Amino acid sequence: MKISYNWLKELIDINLPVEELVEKITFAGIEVEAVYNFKEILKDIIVAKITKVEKHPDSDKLKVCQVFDGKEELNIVCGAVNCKENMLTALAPVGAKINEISVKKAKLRGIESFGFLCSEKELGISSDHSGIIELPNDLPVGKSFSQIAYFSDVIIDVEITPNRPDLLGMLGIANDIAAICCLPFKKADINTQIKTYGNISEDLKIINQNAEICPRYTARLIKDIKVAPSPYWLKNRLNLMGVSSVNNIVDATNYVLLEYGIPIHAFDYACIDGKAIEIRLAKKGEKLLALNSKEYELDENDIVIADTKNVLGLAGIIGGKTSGINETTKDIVIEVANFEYSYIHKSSNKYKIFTDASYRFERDLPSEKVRLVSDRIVEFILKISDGKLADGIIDSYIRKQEEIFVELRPSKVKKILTIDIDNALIISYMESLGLKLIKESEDKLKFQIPCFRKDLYREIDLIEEIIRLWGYNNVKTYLKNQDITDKETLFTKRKISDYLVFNGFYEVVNSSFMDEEILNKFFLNEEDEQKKSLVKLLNPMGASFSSLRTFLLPNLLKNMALNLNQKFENIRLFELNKVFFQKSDGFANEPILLSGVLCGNISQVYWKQKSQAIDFYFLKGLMEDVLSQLDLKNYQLKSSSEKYFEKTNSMSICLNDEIIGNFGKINYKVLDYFDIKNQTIFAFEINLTKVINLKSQEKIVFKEFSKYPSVKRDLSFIIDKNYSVENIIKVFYSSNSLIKSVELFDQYIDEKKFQDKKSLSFSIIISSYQDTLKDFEIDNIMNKLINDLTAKFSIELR
Amino acid sequence: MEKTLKEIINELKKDLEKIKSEHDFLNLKSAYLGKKSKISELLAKLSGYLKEERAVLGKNLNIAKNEILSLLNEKEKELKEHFQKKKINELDLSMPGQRSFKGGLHPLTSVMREIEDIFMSMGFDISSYFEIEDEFHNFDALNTPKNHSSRNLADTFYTLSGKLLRTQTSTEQIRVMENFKPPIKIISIGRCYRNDKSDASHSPFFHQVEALLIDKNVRFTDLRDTLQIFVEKMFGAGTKSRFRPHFFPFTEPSGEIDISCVKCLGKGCNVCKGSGWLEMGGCGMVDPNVLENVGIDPEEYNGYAFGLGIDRITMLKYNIPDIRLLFENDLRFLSQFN
Repeated sequence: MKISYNWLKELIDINLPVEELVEKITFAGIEVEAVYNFKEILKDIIVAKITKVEKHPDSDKLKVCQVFDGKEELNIVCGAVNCKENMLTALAPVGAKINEISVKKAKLRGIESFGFLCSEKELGISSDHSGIIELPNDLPVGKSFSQIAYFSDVIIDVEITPNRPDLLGMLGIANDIAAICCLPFKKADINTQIKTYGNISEDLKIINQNAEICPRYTARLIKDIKVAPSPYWLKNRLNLMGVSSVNNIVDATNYVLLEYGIPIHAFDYACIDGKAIEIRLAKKGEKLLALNSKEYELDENDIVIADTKNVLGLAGIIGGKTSGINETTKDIVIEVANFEYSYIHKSSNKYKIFTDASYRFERDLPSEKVRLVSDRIVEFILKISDGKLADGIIDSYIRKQEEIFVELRPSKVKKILTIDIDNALIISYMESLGLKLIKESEDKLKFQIPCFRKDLYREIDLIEEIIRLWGYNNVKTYLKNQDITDKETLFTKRKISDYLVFNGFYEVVNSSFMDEEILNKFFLNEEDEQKKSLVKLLNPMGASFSSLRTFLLPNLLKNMALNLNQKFENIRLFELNKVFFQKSDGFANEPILLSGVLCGNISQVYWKQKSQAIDFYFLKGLMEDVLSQLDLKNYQLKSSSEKYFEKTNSMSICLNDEIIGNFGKINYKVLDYFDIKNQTIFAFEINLTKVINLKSQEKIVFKEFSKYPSVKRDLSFIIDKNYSVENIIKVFYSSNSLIKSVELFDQYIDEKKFQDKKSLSFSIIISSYQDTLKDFEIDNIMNKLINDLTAKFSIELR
Repeated sequence: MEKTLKEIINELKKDLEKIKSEHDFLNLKSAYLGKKSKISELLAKLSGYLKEERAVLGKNLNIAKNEILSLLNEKEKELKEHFQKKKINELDLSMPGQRSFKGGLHPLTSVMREIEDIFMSMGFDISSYFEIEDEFHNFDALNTPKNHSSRNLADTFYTLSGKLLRTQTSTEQIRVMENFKPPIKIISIGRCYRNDKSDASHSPFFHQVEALLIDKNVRFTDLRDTLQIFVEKMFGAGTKSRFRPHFFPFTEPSGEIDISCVKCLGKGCNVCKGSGWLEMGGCGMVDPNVLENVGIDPEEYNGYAFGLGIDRITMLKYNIPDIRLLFENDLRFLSQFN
């Protein structure tokens, strides 16, 4: 459905800027699909007069026109068939902008053209491209289109929800917008005092007997009409509303359809056999040649309009070709009716005929409106055409539209909508939508629903209307997102515990109390103040409960000792819990630590291969996996100075120069204290709270990957023992950016063969985003890599 | 000629049955379809016939050739399957597979997660504050009288720095109400401390979950409903709950929560000491004084609170007889809960 702002202004006193109107419509529940502001679109177009037309010397189709733009005569080459002298039309002059195109001076087959003349399609006002637009002669030449009332309109294309057929006409739209904006509705009375002759009943009979299919059928008869083109204003308005002009009679029915949302059909009286119209179900096999020039074979589920011999039309969907209005038509019958919507819906879908009429009828229209529309169409036709109206109307109203009353409790309104609204405002809202207050008591308002709002029949339907007018977004919200839950910590804890469990760890839960003597047993560094910032108790249960723990390892080693005593061999334990660092204000920092201890074999007993004992590199790999599970990326691993680990067998995890964890082999002297003998125990500790606070919250964004196959190459060489693999790998990556991955897959040390040297084997993946790599390109990359490695480490290829 | 064709096909059928190897098959294939095959010979002879005869014969030949092809293909498929099966070693399927080490969450953690999930699904937030608290948050704000025995050194651990180890998660109620405006709907979950000697049912540190709802028009039934729903989700449908009037300084009315015994289902047993009911914790409607202490107007807002012991819930759920087992961390204990 299209809304014309100019038309709307004729119906209500509204003068909002377009953007505001669009917003009002949107929040009234009518979805705006597009806005065409012709005042803007056509501001560069001017009314021009063609003063001379000559044939183009070098073209059969083109013409050379002299066009007066109000100031001067312009030479313009035009190909339109309808261009003729003294005609007013639309000129897009040089420099004008239309449809994103800037008009420039052009040479067409050797003749210069200063602008171009536009068709209605080029102007965007209709789909007509058969020639240039022909304007009425009384328009001022030289004026911009934005100053011409016809074109200074705004068309708003809207989507009407299926429950609101009342919005399928401008009056319905105006009514709703008036209610939303609290504006009075301009009432235009229909002139029913028209001079008539004779009586319709002498010339026409209506047979309407099946109330199920046609609740109401009205007919009017107008004689001696003159079928002609419509006046320009009517053509133009229909154009803008998306309806093409046919002739004055058809245009009139379309205009009133757009106005009231109720379809109208006009028959050529001369084509009605027997001067009688019957509304009935079709007989199986009956045929209709429709206005779209197609023939349809009908069945008993189609409602038809018929005369004594033939089917004149498929009721509510499409008329017949033979009874249609054409230039020779003199007398017409005007049908305004209502048909059962379910029949219309089925027939329209069955024959795939979708018309403005069927679109509306299948949405269940009000029978009560039929008479009013009949009066309006008669008045309208006689305004734009000659003709004499037969006195009276045939009105076969055989199924009365039910009157609907709904009781509304203001208390319920307030409860559901949580708004503070008084009865007076509720009543004024309802009345603005056409509801009539019948009875008012303290908490009960009884309304009569207007005939065109069949969607309102329950209390809750009225409540919806109230909130629509009040404004959905004017309801105060109550709940707030308070972010009390620390989701990051909660779910990181779960994720990392699950990860360790999958890797064979059991979770332990230990006491928070710690014997302060423990600190001495761990050979803590001078600078390790945190572990020493004890929260001491005033009334401990004993010396071994004197403080709160500052790290989890003591308890874990105690757990380890207990389980070793139970003769367990492969033991992996972790704890995830708070520790406490005394603060100067008396309270404590209470970070969550993740700590673990492990010993025994790397893998479970398997008959096919011998299991290896856990070593430092196993732990390092596990730690790297844990850090990756924690989404930590830019950390560094450095050798650790903690003395409770064995020297050179431990590392610290650093993030932004801050140590956030350690891992390594536990010092045997510490093990002694826990009475753990002849065992290699590895341990780790990570400050989870620090990890969560320090890690960068990187959003994951998809990255394009190479479409081309990658290449794998191996490289083995002998190198001085002292070079670290980390530094060697750095050289790989810096040698060429196409080297995407480097993996060490073997280390071999043979003291006898090469002293102070080691043999390393790497596998490399090379891949390009641009192309499949050719052999010589790969060779070049490998050669450069070998040169780089040799230059830096004097390697020896194997 | 038709007769010859039928004979060829019958012969082929017999030959196919004799095949033992892929080699046999390939020989047979060339014998029947190769250049020197009978079919090829017949094809070569075709040109000697009249045009009309040629058409009929050609058609018959083609039909026969297709039949030969489909017979051969069928055999080929059969052979392939046969040899494929032979190539795969037969395994002793009873040999053990390669397993990884088993691990597991501590039962307390499993139960805490379950509790968190139940309350989160009912729209509760989870707060997390401190275990080391001051007297205001642990006692004063919660309407505890100045001389209340729970403040004694014999009941509460104090730190040398003048603070205390919280004796209940209710401290978090106060923290949340200080930091957020109603409506508030939270649980707090974590460790608390009391100066109790360790025995089968006591530990100087233990775990609690606390719920707090502050809103307009909170009803006593909201408290009943929430607890009943929680109890059913935690211990299974059919578990009943009841309130017993009690006294807590921070709630009014206050009550203790009992649930029907999870072991005997209310009939009476050693776990419930014959009563059919188990004590789970305390609850009540938040005392107006508590709201005033944190600057919430008790005329506008009210609420409920309840606290439950997680160690007890865990022990009941897994039938663990002694709380000390939870904190010994013996693998023979830990390995039972997954």
